[in-house]
Amino acid sequence: MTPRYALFGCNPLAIEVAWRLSMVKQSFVLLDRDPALVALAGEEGLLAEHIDYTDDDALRAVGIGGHIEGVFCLLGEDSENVFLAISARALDPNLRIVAVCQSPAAAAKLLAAGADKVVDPYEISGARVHELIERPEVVELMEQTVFGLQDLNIAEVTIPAGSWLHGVRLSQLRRHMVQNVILLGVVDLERGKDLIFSTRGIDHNLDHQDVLVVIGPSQDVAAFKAIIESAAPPHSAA
Amino acid sequence: MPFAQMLVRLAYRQQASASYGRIKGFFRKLLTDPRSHRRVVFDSCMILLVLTSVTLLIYEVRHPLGHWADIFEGFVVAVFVTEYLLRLWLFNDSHKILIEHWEKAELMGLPFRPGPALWAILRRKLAYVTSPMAIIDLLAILPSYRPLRFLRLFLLFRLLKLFRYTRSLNAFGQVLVEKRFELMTLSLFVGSVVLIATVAIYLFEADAPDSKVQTLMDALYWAVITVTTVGYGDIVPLTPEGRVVAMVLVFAGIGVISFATSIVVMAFHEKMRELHDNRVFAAVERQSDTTIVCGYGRIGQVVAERLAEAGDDFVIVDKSEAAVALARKQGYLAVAGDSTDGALLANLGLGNQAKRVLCLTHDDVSNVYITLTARQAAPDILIISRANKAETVRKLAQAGASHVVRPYEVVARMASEFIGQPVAFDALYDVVTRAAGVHLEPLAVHPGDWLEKQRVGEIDFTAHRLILFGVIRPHASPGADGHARYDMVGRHFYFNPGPDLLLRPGDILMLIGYQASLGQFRDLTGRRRRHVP
Repeated sequence: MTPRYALFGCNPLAIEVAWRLSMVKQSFVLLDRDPALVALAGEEGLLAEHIDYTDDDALRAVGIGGHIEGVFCLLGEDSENVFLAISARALDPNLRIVAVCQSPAAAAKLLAAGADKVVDPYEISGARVHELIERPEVVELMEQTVFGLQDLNIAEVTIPAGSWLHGVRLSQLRRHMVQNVILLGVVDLERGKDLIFSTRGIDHNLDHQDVLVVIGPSQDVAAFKAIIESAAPPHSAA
Repeated sequence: MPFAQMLVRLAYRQQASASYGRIKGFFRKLLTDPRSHRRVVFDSCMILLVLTSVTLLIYEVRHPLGHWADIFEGFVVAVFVTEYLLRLWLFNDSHKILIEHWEKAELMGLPFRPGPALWAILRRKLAYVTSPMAIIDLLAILPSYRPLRFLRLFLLFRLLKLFRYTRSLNAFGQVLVEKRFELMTLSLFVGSVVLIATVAIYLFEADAPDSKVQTLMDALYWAVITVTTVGYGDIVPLTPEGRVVAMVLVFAGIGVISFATSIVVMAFHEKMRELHDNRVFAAVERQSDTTIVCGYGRIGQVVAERLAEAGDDFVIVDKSEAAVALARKQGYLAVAGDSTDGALLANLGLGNQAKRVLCLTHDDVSNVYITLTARQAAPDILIISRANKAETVRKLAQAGASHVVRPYEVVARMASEFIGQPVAFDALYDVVTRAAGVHLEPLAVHPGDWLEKQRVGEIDFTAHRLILFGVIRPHASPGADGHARYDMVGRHFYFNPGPDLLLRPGDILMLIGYQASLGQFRDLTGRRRRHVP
């Protein structure tokens, strides 16, 4: 099976991401410059390869610019991650790149280097600790439902070309939402690329390529997707 | 031996008496307890009293004051005497000594002799009377005895009394005491240099024509003025030999000054940390529910920032001086020290007013140790620990952590979510970190609340610009069918419940919305509660 994702860095963080990916049955490869770390990851039973990521040919050989869809820059140094993000972005403009940063100042640099998303581990963990103090219910709820193994998922649905929703108002769609899902927000391309939360109360004019973000049990989410993607509006109006 | 028996009986009665203990405790808090609020008030009053009395006594030197000044002086002396006696009383518990002696005699089967016991008590009291502070206290009382004019000098001891009431002045005294070896060496050196210079200048200058050095006193005065590099110039050496002595003495003086300065500076530098720590302990003591943040790395910084934003009380402990300096720069309370040290944590209120301990150091071993220490000292406290390795999670739980946060896991979850669904991920990230102003907040249903016995369908969440994410209901409440239900520890979570779900006290509504909408809704439910019986 050709891997779809490349994880750079064979450190504990990368191994954690690897386990997470294997849980959702995604194929990936772990890559690092340090042969000792590669061997260690191999011992964990993960597919790991030795690579010099400063060499563009080596990156191409791994499949960046080819079958690799996403890259995780999980190396220990911000400078390494910036270099990796620049190299990868140059090879493939459509690649999805996630990077971690050690210092907050590096986040902007990583974004400039071409990363789509920068995750600050300390920021998130600190926020988590504070949430545990302030709102333990919220953390517990998210841990056990959305992040956990129970069947409650967050999903995004892009309105495809040819969907009946093209040119339809959000309030009209709501009338057909009989599934047990919550519409968290909409990315309305007329209004920009950011997600607009439903709580703003805007009655969006939906077009194709707009994205709807919903939370619900997988069965309901699938049913919701089917409505969105069908060409004709469903008959059963609630 | 009725006298001895009476003594022992009295001692036991004191030991058993609750009111005696209470009274002594009250005065101890007032006079000696370094942490008590009452002492701060008492000290401030005493400082005011000392300054007023000294001002009056100085003014009185040239301007006779009336009858009222005498009364005031009498009052001051009365206060001072009372304070002196109280301190003498508080210094130790005499009845304990008596009881100890008696019990020892009983144990050995010997007859109890009151003599040695009383002598031991007297020795303890004498130890207090001869302590420097007690002597100052005593001397401060004297200046009011008018007939002896020279006693006016002891007025200065009233000013010295201020040492007792201000902690920073006290620290200055402590510095001098701690550095007594160095200071002794220095004074020995200065003494011998001055002695040699005095004798030398006297020998060379005393019989020179036009010499100002007439007596040995003149010589000593000149030597002291020169060695301290003051050099008034009223007495100057005239002979070449005398001038050589002066030159040598000037250099010795520079040495003496720099040595003295370095001793004091160094001592203060060492003392500064301790002083600062004491200030932090005192500040923490005044807080009502403290969060102890162990480790001020990046995670600690984020947490501290958020706690400060929320207006919560917290104190930071970190081994590294640099981290503590950083925290202090932010205006946070911080102590440099090893947070595995139970005594340090106790000083920060663990086991008392501390409500939470956050173990956020880089080292899993330390985190486990801190967790264990904290749990033993305070069984009900909330402990949140950081685990870097997956194996540590179980160990932390065993050590007593209420929650464990694993940074790598959190990041991995976020990162893997992002790959599949970036927009959904952003939404989740915003809600979880509250970055975009959208929060997921709990709202509890209280008995007698407006929300109680409402059906979910009757509340127009959309009009309030809110999304009802779901309802958390404890297992103790009756369950509801026909809704998507998820299990949590001890509770059920009803996701997006249908309009017919009846809200009960103990339920928690999980609402998604902007801060303003949430606040408004919260106010509304609170207001209606008051109106509806």
